[in-house]
Amino acid sequence: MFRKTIFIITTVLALKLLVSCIFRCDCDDPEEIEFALNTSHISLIDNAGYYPDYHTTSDTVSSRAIGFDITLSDSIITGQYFTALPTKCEQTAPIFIKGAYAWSCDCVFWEFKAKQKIKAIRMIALTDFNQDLPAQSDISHLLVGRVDQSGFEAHGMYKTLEKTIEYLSEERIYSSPEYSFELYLTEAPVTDSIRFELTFEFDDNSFITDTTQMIYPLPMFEL
Amino acid sequence: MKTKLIILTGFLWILTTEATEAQLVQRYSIDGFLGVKSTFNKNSDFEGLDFMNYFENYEEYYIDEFYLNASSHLWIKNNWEADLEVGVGSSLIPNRFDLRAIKRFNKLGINFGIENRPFFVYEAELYYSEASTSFYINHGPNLSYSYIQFDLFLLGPYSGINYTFENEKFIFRGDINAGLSLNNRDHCYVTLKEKNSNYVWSEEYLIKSSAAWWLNPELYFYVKLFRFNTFDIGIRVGAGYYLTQKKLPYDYIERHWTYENAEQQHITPPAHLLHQLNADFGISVRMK
Repeated sequence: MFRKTIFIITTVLALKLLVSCIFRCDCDDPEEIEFALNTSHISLIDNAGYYPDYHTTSDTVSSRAIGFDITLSDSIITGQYFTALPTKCEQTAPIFIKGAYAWSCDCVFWEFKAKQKIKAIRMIALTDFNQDLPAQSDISHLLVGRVDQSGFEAHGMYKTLEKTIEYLSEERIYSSPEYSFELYLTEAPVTDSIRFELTFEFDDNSFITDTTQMIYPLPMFEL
Repeated sequence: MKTKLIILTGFLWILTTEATEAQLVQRYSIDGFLGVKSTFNKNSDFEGLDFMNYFENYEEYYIDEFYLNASSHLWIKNNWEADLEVGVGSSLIPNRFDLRAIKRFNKLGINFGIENRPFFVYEAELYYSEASTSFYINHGPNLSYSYIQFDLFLLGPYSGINYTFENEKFIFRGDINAGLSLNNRDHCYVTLKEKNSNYVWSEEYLIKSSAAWWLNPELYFYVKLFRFNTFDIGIRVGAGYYLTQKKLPYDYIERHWTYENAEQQHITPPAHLLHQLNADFGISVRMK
């Protein structure tokens, strides 16, 4: 009976040790890194369906369903981050199953904080938007944003452009040296083709200007 | 459900036996019974969302819910009686109750009570899918289709009369009660997205409490089967009809594009005449 008890206790302890060796949870405190917002990436969203299509390869979108997926990032740190991540993950991957876990890394190594705060977002139509808004018109007042996707936003509602900027300018920690948000047009352009210029102004008086791809809006009746 | 009924019955048992031992109660009975109810509610042609159209949304009589109740009847001094009934419906939550005091004048009695009667607003989002197919319901990056449904409780006081005929083996009781009820407040909203468009809007409903009269005739039969120790064991059969005229007013908030862009108005849909039939069968234990 005594030997049986010792055997059970030893087995339980051995199993516990084995489990702790495989599933290591000894992550170091993450290093805080500040990143600059010096580059942007704008891609077209086709918002005609139930869910926004972030991966549309078409340049033809319903004129009333045009949106933009925008990423602001630090061009230097972003590259370093994605290069360093696999090595970091391999270092902390479980002993026996390193290969399988090479890309599924549970430890947080860095916390990123933006150096600048966004102050303004401006959108210019580079071609005629409609009869009242010719080329070079500021159409920022026709924009709404979607950024945190909680509360009413999780149910598909948007933020005003002002609220979007307010949200983006709040100090927060990011898991990578970049952040993304979405902008949507509240009015349909009445034109065969259109391109927009977006300017992001920051509190250190720096700015990023980028242009969208050429878009061929489909009028409603052609759908 | 069985466990909840056992707990409720146990609670009633303890309450009544304690009261008996304290010599407040001269005798008592405890009933356990299974019932069915059938609700009839005619839809209105109201243009906006009328929650009553989805309130026990049955336009013909058929069994729409089972319930399991436990009740205790106490015979107290000075010709007073008390009746406590609690039960669970399909939600398995003990959300129905009826507390009643009765002053007896020979075979006639006067009832004073308070009751909580649960109902269910079911699939009210159908209002949108029936209205148009030009938009998506509850669009959102993190969302799938969801339902607009909630429990409504009609709670309020009542009064009425009853007639009881009782002999050694048989009891017949007939009640007619009339009362006022108030429904609980609730809140729901739906977000809609126009197809082929960025346009989204939300419609939020803040359901208000409103009063309604109701009428509830009831019948009760008991037949003694055998005697066990100091108790008579018998079967009971009950039936009732509930009539009310109910409306569900609400504050309606429509938001276009953003949360801030809101318009609010008060909406009062028409009252519906709601009929409910119920019948039950169970056992009764009576202390002599």
